[in-house]
Amino acid sequence: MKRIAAAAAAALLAFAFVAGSAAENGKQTIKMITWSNQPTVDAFTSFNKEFSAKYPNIEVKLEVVETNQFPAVLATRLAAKDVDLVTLPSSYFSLDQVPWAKGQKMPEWQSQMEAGVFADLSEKAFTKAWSTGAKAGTYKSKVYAISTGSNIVTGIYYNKKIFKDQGIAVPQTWAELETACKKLQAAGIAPMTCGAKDDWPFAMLANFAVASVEPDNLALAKGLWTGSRKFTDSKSLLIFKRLEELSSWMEDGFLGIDYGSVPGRFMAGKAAMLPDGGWQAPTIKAADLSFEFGYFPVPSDKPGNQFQGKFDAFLAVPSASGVKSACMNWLAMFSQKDNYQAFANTTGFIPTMDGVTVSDPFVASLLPYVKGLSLAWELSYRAPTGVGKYAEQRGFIPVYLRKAGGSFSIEELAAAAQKDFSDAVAKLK
Amino acid sequence: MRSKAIRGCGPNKGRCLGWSRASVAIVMVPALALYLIFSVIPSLGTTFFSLTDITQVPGKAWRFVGLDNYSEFLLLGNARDTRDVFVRSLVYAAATTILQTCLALAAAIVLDNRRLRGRGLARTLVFLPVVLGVTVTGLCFNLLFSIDGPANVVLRSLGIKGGLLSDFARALPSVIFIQIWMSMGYEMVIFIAGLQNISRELYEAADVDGARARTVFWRITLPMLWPTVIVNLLVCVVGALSSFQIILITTRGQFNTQTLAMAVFSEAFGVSQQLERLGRQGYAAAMQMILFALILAVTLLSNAFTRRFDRSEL
Repeated sequence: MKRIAAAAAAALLAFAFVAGSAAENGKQTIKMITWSNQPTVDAFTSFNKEFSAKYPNIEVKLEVVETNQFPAVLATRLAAKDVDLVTLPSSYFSLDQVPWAKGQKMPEWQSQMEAGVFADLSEKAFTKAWSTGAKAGTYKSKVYAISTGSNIVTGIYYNKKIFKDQGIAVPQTWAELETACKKLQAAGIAPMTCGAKDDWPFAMLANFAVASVEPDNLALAKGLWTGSRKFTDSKSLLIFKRLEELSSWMEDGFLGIDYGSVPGRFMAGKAAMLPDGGWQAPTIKAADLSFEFGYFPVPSDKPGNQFQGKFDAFLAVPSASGVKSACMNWLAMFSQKDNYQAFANTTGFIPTMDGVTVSDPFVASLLPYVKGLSLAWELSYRAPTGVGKYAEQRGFIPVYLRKAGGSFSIEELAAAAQKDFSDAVAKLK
Repeated sequence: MRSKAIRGCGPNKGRCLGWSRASVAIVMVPALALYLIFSVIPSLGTTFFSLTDITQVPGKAWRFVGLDNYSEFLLLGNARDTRDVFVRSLVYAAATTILQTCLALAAAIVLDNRRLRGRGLARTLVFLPVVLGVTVTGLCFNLLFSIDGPANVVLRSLGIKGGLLSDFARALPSVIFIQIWMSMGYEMVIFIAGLQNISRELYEAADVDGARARTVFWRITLPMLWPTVIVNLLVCVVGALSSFQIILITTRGQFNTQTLAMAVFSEAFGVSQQLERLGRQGYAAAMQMILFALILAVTLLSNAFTRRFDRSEL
């Protein structure tokens, strides 16, 4: 028995010695998390290999989290001080408190910056490499994160073969889009599809409808608070009407389609168009290189409408990280033009660094339409705290419209949204 | 050291079936500790945190806000939406409890019939969903009710458009159906155990008297099974009011399926259907306390009703 105890004690000592030696050798591990967007995951994985080759004593462990679960997992990991390098979604650095939205609560990301959850990157030399990426992650004149790219929100993918077979040209105006959809429906082809089961892809159509009507998203958002605009005024009714039209162009049963199956359905020709963000393009391309598709901005009444979008995938280092200097090395190397260029070309993001050559013909074709990319409606609209369901989130909510499966006409939904909005603003005052 | 005697344990003072009072206390410690750690302390914690503004934001200082969370939910929030959530929770609980109990009772009576061939297999099949668990069941029904799934193929062949879990009118009944399918087997097993405790002599006497099956059920089976029915009803109603898992997996609270329990989970863990956000645990704790009050009220009412019914009808 004594021998066994002595052997166990010796083994424990040996283990402690080895563990201590490993720490002394300076081997460090960066725990990194991101959400499940395959092109982004591939790009980070590839870069991490290069990083570890240059810094053999630093290992990067990339963990991929289901997109829907990401905010909760991120918060939990930050609270547990169990993550060193994070990607932050596009909801960060947007919808901050503004004087005209009185009584609004501070958004969570702003609370995080105020609480010092993330390290200040302002003094780091690598931030200078970013033309818009560092500015997008700035709060109160301090850089807390780097946006690795901007994404288009208000674009529509189209199947080139179906368009060609039906003799349809890329719509330049809303009227042309209506004509194209009617022609497709007459030919027995569903004009559009959408992953509405996950709700947000369908709710996101508010960005499209607003972009087709409003020249200035922020003015509309502010006007709703100050009373100069209403959900029931003629321009807002037109937005609801366009939401109804978009809903009526969807394939049957689209409310039951999950977002993950949307690229497959679009590529299989179950619908001719897919209103979706630019982030979907790499997935479509990866699934079938021979599939021919194009992407155009949601049109307005006049030709020449531009894309609207958002900054996305911000990289930040938690203040509590024990390997902050290793993370700064990672960010510095990532900020080198060649490395970022490879990342941007894999992800299909619109670059947030000047001088980056875009090799992807699809992304390159978008660049003329994204100069001075304006923010999409969802990054302008401030829903009042405690607002009712008809005016929450993005305000113009298609799912309640009769043609989308709900029970409201355009006028009824507009009145319900205005009532919910006004009631909530009145309570805040 | 001599232990004190346990009352009612016979003449051998200080011992009960060979156990001293100290030994009994010692073996109870782990169970009591678990109960304290995983039940009492979290409950007290929920009560406390419902009076704070704690969120999922790490490092953010939280403060005591009194009843602000309660007033935000009950007064600042949209009254119509709040009322809808309450009504939906009660509808969900009532429908689940009544239908599940009736179906489980019917299944138990049928499958307790000794003359029925293959009743062992039938019992296993009815009980199987209980073993599968919520996640597997939810994913199976997601596939079954998906746009290209068999259920929708049948619906389309009947000229009915739209899905089952993605339709404002059909989503809640569909979720209730899944909940019943998933939990009925458990209740059935309890009923079968209750049925097997009823003396066969009573049925033989009824048979001799020429009683019909309906009379036998109302005059013998149900009265004798009544304590089991009450237990099942209470377990079911409490379970349904606090259940959110199947809703989370199938609809995430969309299409008018948001119950109070689901709303609590959404607020606590930032399960937003549309935009990324972090959880507000203080606010969610206040909602949970309101849910607790609702469950307590429903339980007390159910108890009072069943006792009254017990006295007057049986």
